[in-house]
Amino acid sequence: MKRKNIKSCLVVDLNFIGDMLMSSPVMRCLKQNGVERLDVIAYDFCVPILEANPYIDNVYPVITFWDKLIRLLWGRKQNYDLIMQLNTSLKTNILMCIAGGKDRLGYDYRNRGFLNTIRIPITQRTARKGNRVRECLDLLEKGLGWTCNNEEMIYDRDSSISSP
Amino acid sequence: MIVIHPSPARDYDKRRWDKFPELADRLIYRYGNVSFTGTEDQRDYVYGIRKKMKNVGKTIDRCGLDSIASLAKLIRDADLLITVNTLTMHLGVTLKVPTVAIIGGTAASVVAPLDSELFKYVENVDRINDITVDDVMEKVNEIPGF
Repeated sequence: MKRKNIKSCLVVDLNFIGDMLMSSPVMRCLKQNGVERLDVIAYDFCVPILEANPYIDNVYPVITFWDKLIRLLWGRKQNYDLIMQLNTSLKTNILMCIAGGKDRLGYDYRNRGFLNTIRIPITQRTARKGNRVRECLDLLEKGLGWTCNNEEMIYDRDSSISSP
Repeated sequence: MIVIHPSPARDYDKRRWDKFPELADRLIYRYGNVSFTGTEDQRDYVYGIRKKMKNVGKTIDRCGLDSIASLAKLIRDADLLITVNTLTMHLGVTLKVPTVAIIGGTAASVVAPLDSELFKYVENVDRINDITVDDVMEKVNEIPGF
């Protein structure tokens, strides 16, 4: 069943810089399906790639575990409709639980996703077998019932978003 | 302009290919100048490649560009990008620049679009140095206009 009424979303994308481009189509799909506020938590060295994605509203860079914890505690106050991560990290799932959110979406590898409200089973860790771009979009398709066909990666240097 | 990005971001030995000097010489012989890109930390590695070339005078060291935006602009203006599996490969695909990738360490099916006219690749997940210069040039020849 297609999920609607997701107006605010926080994506936790703690990957390396090349991976940011591979996950960029997710941001387009979220916006095209009605998300009005789209925030991303990522490592600070990835900010230049995220700032070139016009579909992202705010980028919150983190470096240490404590940065992540503080940012996600702050995230609790934002009361996001959806918080999601694009990998299978148990630590990130725990942090997402701390951040709350009406729903939390992620892949469920070896039950590491047990804290999420929408869990998509996966037999291998992410970025091991299937195409990474497709894998990221499949999370939205399988978790929310959306159709995400546009796999073109995004780097638009003319876009400007804030990185508070 | 041909841009070559020879170094992966981290010390991924499985992504390092040892035949860039010969490849760059072949490309210069056919097409003219070649620019090498990399971070400031990778400048020594690029120097090592250029040192082994016969036509080093027709190469430009563009390592240490001040931002990703500058790198993206350089890539966008290139006629051909040759790269290992790293950010520049993804930038080449995103910016629709003709790209030939030399992929090791990770399966190409994970990191690359397999059906793009402008993107070609050679892959050897475990033994990247088994890829020959002829293998790469064959892919260059498949790019429209080359």
